[in-house]
Amino acid sequence: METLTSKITQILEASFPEAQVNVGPMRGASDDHLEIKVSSTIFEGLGLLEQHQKVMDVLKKEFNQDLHAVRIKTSTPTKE
Amino acid sequence: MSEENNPFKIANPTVDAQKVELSSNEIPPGFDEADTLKRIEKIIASSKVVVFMKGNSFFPQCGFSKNTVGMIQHHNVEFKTYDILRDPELRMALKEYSNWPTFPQVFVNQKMIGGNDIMMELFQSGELLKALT
Repeated sequence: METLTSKITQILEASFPEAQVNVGPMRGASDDHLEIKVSSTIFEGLGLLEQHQKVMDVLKKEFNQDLHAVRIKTSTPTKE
Repeated sequence: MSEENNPFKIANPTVDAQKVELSSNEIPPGFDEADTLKRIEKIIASSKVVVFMKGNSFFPQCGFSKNTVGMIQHHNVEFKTYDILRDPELRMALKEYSNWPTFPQVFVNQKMIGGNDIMMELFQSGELLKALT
């Protein structure tokens, strides 16, 4: 069975082909809580809200299904 | 796992939401009878800082909402809350309005500044007070 982690990873990798995507469980929370790290040049010049919005936007549908909450960390490759 | 049995949901789920008392800084549900978009606009205009959350400041119904409220209280900033659990229609409409699928959502000067993650980042970097004023 496909896990939520791999499903979300696939969605993010498909949406942000050049990004480095890392998805894992949120510590101390249930399976429907995930930690998401996305590092991509598309975030350059954007504020924190816009960066997170880009990630949230592609996960919208999942929040109506089996995803409850995410913790997002966005970065640009140069910023690291 | 469903929303019902996750550990971040802290309140007793058998409590009837309608019977929970309003906290003093809470905008009552159903505030204004106009259409949903107008209601959202009125709510976010009713205070400089407005938090759309699960529950209220006295009885937050989710760990993330509780955390966000706690950070604002830490800075002694006045704010109002709106309980989206008691208003499913507004809850759905707000997700579209702010292009953000989860709660809490924090609005300052009628603009969404983020959810709990962004609040945490602002808090930790010492920028939250500035963002709230």
